[in-house]
Amino acid sequence: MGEWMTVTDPDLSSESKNICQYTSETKMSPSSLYSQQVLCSSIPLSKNVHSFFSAFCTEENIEQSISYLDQELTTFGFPSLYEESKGKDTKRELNIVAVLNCMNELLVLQRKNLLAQENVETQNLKLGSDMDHLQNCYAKLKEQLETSRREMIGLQERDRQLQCKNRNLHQLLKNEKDEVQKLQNIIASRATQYNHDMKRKEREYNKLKERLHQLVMNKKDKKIAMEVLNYVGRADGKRGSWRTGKTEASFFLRNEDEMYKILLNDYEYRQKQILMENAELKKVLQQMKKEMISLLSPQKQKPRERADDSTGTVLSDAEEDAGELSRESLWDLSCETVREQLTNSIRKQWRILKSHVEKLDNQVSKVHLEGFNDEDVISRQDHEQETEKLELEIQQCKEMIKTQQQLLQQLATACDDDTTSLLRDCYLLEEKERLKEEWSLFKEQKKNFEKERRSFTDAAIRLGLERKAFEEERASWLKQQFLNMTTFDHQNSENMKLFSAFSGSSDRDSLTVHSRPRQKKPHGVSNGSPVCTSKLTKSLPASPSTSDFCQTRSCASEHSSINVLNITPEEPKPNPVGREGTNQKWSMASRPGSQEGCYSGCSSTYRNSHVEKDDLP
Amino acid sequence: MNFSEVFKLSSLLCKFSPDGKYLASCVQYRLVIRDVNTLQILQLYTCLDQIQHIEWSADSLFILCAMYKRGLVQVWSLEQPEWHCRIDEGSAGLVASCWSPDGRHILNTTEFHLRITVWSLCTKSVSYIKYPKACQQGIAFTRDGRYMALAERRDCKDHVSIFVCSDWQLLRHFDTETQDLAGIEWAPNGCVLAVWDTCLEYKVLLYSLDGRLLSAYCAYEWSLGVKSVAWSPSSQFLAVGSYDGKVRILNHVTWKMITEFGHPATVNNPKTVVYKEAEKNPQLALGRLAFPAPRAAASPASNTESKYEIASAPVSLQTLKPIADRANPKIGVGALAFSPDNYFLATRSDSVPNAVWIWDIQKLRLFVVLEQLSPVRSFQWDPQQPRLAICTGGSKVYLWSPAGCLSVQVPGEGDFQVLSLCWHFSGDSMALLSKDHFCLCFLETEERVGTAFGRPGDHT
Repeated sequence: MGEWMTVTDPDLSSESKNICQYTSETKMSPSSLYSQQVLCSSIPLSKNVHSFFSAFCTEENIEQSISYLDQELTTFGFPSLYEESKGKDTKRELNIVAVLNCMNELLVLQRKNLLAQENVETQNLKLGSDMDHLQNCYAKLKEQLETSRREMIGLQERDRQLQCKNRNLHQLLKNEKDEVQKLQNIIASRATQYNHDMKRKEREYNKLKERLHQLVMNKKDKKIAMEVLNYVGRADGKRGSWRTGKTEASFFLRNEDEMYKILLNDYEYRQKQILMENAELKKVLQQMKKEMISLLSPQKQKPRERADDSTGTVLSDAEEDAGELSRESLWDLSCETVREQLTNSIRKQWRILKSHVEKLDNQVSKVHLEGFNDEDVISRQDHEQETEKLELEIQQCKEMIKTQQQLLQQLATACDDDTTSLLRDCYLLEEKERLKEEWSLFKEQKKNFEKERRSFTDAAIRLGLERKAFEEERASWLKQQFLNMTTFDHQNSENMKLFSAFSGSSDRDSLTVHSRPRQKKPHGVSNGSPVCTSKLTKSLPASPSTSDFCQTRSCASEHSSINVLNITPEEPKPNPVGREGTNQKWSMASRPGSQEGCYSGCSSTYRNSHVEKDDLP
Repeated sequence: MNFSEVFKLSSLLCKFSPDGKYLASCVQYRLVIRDVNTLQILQLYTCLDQIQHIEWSADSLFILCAMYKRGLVQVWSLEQPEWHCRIDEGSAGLVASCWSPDGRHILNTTEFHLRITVWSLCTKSVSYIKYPKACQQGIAFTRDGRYMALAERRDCKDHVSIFVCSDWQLLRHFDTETQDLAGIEWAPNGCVLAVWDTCLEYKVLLYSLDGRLLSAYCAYEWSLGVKSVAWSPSSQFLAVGSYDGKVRILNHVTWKMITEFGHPATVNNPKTVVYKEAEKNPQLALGRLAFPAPRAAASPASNTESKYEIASAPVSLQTLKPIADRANPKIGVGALAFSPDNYFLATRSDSVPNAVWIWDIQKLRLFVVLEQLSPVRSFQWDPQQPRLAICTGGSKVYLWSPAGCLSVQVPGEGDFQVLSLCWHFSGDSMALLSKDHFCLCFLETEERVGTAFGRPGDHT
């Protein structure tokens, strides 16, 4: 296993790492490897053992086989199967415990080995698949390499071809250039040839013309003539002045004069134009200069402070110039003197302006750069954050506006619904108030009830006391009677028993509903008087009647609730009062919690009634 | 816009008198003088042969009719119809005849350019000028009529002689540094003479009146050179159109090039307005037209009416592939004309024959391109305002002004193919010439058109 691991291509990048891991793992746990090997070897061995088990150990060679096993086991590091012999001669006894331990250990080992085998097998599978994957990758990459190599070769080939072409084209270009040169030479030579020929021909032609002229003119052609009826006057009224030999020179001079006059006029005209143009340009220049000076003057201090000598002097020069110029209007003087001053000053100022502008540019760029570096970054970030915040706010506001608009629209479109809902809200508020009022009323009623209850309880206590007194009286009376007639004694004891049994059952039957007997019971017990019990026995059939009463009470409450439905909430009093009257007995006896529950029930019914009442209008 | 009735004409000979009062036209050997306003025939002169050339004298008193075949020139007077003058060049022959600016002398060029004969109407005297050069533009008078420049060829060298027109004295005579001088042209101020070389060599020379060489300009070598030259009316610019399809503008101070205008086949600048002439369906309603041509729309005759459409930015113009192995190839800028107020320059590139390019001289950029349906024959500026009339040999005349442009159908029976046109000096009317007929086109009478066009001040 380790061998083919090392065989795998170590160059494969990611996969190789995995492999390394795997290999390292396997190397890290030599024990497992060992066990694996053991397992591998043991599996066939055990099989073999199994197959010739019968042959290995028979009844005859038990001793030998045991000793053999002992030997084997000891060689593998297990404890001996035999007990420690006391003497040499004594026969070594087989130590069953050791055998069993050994067996157990072997079994554990076997299990471990099996597990390890399983692990190794899965690992093997994994590695196999990895191997496959890697092989695939390898193949793919190989293919890629091949294709790219082919491509490269193709590109190289193309490059070579292009270069070849380029060379050819260069050659062609050179040829063409040569051709052009040649052709130009040819053209030039042809041109000279042509000119030469032309000249020759022209000379011939001229000769011919001359000859023709002579011929034509010498013939004294009569035909060449002008017939005029009468000569007309000149357009300008002058007499025809035709040149004659004598006046020729003077005429010529006059013509020359005229020509020069014309030329002079033209030049004068042009000069005037140029002067005008110049004057305008000068004006513009002057204005520009003034503006420049005014523009630059506020910054005079700064450059001087910076000890910038050149600009300082230049500025002073400029000032001087400005002073001069303002002093005397040199503009109208000849250009020669002014021009240099003007151009120089303008140039200087222009230089200043330029440097100033450049400085400004630099500053701006610096500021820009700085802005990227430190403080301004923060400010910018802040700015951005602020803007973001503001944008968010704006968005929120917009949303708000939107929703409001929607609401408004809804209001506009479905005005009725809204008004009803609003009205309903109003109603609810009213009802709340009403309910509060009612609640307070109820509370008052409750107080009243409590008062009454208290009075009732007082009355009941009094009644109880009175009854007690009455019972005591009766007991005394009965005593007297009992003492008078002792024969009834036995019967009375039986009654006693009966009562106790019944009381237990009643207790079990209804703890909540039949609260009265339970309450009464201690009373009765405390009394412990047979008279009382006898009385109670009389009231035994009355216990269901109490339940009935309870039913009637519930009925009454139902009835009252029904009544409540019909009556106005402003006058709840008579009904509860009436109920009070009907419920007097049970209310006195029932627990306060249940009563409260009843109240709550009542209130709930009230609420219900209100809800129902809502629907009525 | 109104059109006169159609009159007969031969050899495209129809000219307004310089004073604008008369209109001279030729029908075979008859010369007809009409009143410009009434178009009534004032005079009818009969010449000895078919007239080949007519020219008004500068004072509009005389008109000369040249019959080159016969070597004859006949002069007629408007004031004295019975007055007549006949000049016979005899066996020397005649190839060109023109008035001198004073209107009292006639310069006749004999065959083979043997000499120029100067005939005077005032005296009997005759003078000859020898060795005139046979070239496209060999005689040039200054605008004030004082001087005449004449290209000469002596001893295989080009010369220029400057004559004083009043007494025909030679003022200056100098040789020019040209291989084969092709033309001369005075600046309108009469102080600078532009001389250009033949098309084989790009060379423009500028001479002062006194014969000094002011400057020489050469844009390139080894290729066909100058094709056309035009001075701006202010003498400030000299536009030189060349065979490379460019116009170069030289200034009058340094005589260096200010700018050059190329004439590419595609107009890419979105600022340039390109008007394309398009066939108009006669069924279309008037209101839908971009530039309604009232007369044309009103005239029922033709179904080939057209209108201008403004094409959007990248416009490709129709180009003509020049035949390389023929002489005078159809390439280069063949026609140039400055507007009278110096603001515009109209050019035509012969390789883009359908288009007229109008350049803004103030901003030195292309202003408008007009593309016609057929090749432009000629164009001429209104002498009074920046208004360009164009004809293409079709039955329409086209007008452009900074306010816009329009195409006008010439009314009349049959097809009136406008081959040439000439403006009246007032700019109120122009004569449209076809092969056999001519008619007048009055622009000022139509108030609507007058207001529709921009006045000279509008475009500044």
